[in-house]
Order: sequence, then C-alpha cells, then structure tokens
Amino acid sequence: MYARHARPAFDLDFKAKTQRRRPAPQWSEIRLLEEFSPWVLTCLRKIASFSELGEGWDSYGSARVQAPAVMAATRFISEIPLDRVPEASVSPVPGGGIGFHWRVADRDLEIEFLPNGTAEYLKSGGEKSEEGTLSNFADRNLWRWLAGEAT
Amino acid sequence: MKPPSGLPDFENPPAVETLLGVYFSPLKRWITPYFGSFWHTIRKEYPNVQVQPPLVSEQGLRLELSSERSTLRLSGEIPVRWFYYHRSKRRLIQIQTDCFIQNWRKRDERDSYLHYAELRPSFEHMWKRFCDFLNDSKVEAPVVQECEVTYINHIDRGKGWTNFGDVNRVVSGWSGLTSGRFLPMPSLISLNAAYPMPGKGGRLAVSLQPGIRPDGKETLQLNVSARCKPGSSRSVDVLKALDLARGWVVNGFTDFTTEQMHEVWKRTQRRGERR
Repeated sequence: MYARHARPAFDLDFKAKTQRRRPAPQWSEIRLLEEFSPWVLTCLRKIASFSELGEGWDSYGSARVQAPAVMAATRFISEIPLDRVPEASVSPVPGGGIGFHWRVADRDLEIEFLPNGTAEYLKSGGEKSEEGTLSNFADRNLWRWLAGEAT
Repeated sequence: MKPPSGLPDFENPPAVETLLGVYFSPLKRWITPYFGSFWHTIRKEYPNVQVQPPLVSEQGLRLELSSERSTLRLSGEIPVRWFYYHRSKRRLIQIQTDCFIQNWRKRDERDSYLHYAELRPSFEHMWKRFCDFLNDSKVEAPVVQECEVTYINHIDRGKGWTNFGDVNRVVSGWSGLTSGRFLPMPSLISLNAAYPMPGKGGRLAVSLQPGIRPDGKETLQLNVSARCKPGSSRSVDVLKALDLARGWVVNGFTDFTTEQMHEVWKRTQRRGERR
C-alpha cells in the first residue's frame, strides 16, 4: 500500500536505465558507467576487493568471501532499478557473504548476500521490522519503502 | 586460420564482438510476415528469435494525430528489428527493412577470437540467403547505401589500466594532462572520435566508454566502427567495401591504442612488417 501524498526522501526515477540508450547493433551486454549513480563504481570496486580477503579476514576465523556472493552482489548493485538510490554502506559478512546497508530518515534496509549467492533483506523503521528473501533485484517496493513513499 | 592481409595482428586481442552490416534503402514490398518466413528458411541453424526496437526510425511509417476526434492512426509497417540467434549462441543475425547485420561474440573468456577471414564467408553465405529469399518473395533487391564493420573491445581493469588516470596508457592520443594542478583524477572518461575514410563519405568512428559487464568486471569498452559506400549493390562490391572497412578498423584500432597495450595483447606484426 502506498501513501498517496507522501513525499519521497530521494528521487524515484523508475525509468529503466538501458531503455534510455538508443537501440544499437551491439549484442554484448554492458552497463555503461555514465548510467550509474556516482557511488556505484566505488561500491563495485569495494565488492571486487572482497574477493581478495583470505580465510580468517575478520580475525575470528571467517571463511573467505565466496564467489557466488560477489557475483550476485555485483549484479544486484548494477541492476538497482533506480537512478538516485542513496549511497550504500557495503561490507563483507562473517561466514563468506556480503552485506549492504541503507539508512534514510528512521528507515533501515539491510540486504545480505549469503555465500551461495542468495539474498535476504531486513527492513526496519520505527517499531516495525520485516524480513524476507530477495528474489527479484528489479523489485521496486523496497526502494519505495526506503524513500518513504510506501508503508 | 588467420588473414594473410598484412594488417596488424594480435595473439590475445581484446575483441569480444564483431559485426558486419549492410544498410540499404527501405525494402519495397517487404511486409512484416516476411520476418517469420525468412526465419522458416534458417530455423534449423537459428532456432530462436526475438523482436527488438529498430535501429533507426524508418520511413514507411506514418503517424497521424487528430485533436478533434482524439484519434491516432498508424499507417505502413510498424518498424521492428528481428534477432535470429544461432544455435551456437555465438552468432546473431539482425534484420529490419533497411539493414542486415551479422554479429559474432565471445560467450566467455575461454572462447577463442574469431578472425575476419573466418567471419567473412559466413556473412557472405547468409547475405546471399537473405537476398535469395527477397528474390523468391518478389521483394525488390536491396539498394545498398553503406557497409559497416565494427569491433567491440573490452579492455578490462587490471589489464593495462587500473583507474581513469591511466587512460593515457591505453589511448595513444590521450595525455590526461591538465594545464594546471586544479583538476583531480577524472571519475569518468568517455571519448569519441571520427575519422574520414578516402572517397564516398566513408568514416571511422571510435568510442571509448567505461562500463560494467554482467559478470561484474569493470572494463573500458572500445568500439571501432567503419562505414563506407560500396561501388554497387552487388555482393562482390559489398564484400569489397566490408574488406576496406575491416582494414580501417584494424589499422584504426592499432593507431588509436598504445604500443604498451599492444604488448599486453601480444601484437605479432610490427609496423612496416608485412606477412
């Protein structure tokens, strides 16, 4: 359910990024950096650097960050269907996964990519919280919620 | 098989895709069902198709708007482009009423690079089949306006460059220098250049754009594309024009990039050498 007159905390532009480009004869897929929010490149480089962490990177014997988690997190961050999602905090997670965190006003969104590449989310705001599995990266409801446009 | 062409060659070139294309005046008497009819003739090798938006707006479509009755009328054929996917998943044919394009791409890094000498006969064969189909369908033969050869190269981060301050290590004409010390390292660099080819309005277009591949690899996409007008619409002239365009693409790519990168890609022929 969406609050009709709520003003989103960040700009929601759902236009698919790839549709902005004119059709081209190229077949290979690529997402041009000019289509991304400026923080995405930094985030992608951070994710790539997690691959270089060895066993026990957290000093507590954690497994290294697993390749399926790196690949899924990379795909996720480059497929976020919004232009102006605020910058995420990203970090390796003990056990071999990768975690993202956003805080907008009093709303927190955490997304964790497990070592096998599957993703779970936890959203919390005020006294409510909800968790689930993230199966569709293009799902906009989480972003609407984070922007304060949906309840 | 490698081309005995005397052109620069690389053992490990960054090319991930090559396309050869023919652009012609919109086909007279072509109707949308022919996309499917042509598929029927090649379906064994190209089992999957997809409908895509056209590359350029086509002239056969008329849009009429009427404000009094609020009506919208479309006349002519709806412009579309059909993709015909080869069963190898490495080859694609694109057709719309004013162009025919064949693409080859590497599926992954283990795929070997396909040289032009291997692609050309395949293009020639499929172009002939398309022209034969037009003839059988009583569609006027294409009046060819331009031929195109494009090489798409991915120069991955970590293979010759690590940040946008290193683009001068990739592009020979880019120094990256500033006249003062005000500007920091760029967070994005995008380059476009066009060069005239001799005679008949041919041109070589080069573009460099950073991007992210679906596998998450950060790369500089270097597209080198040559277009020129053939002497006639006959296949022999179309192929001659493609050969000329290909020569410009290879020489242009080599000139545009640095010798340092040529080392990375293992250039096998030095300037002035001929094989």
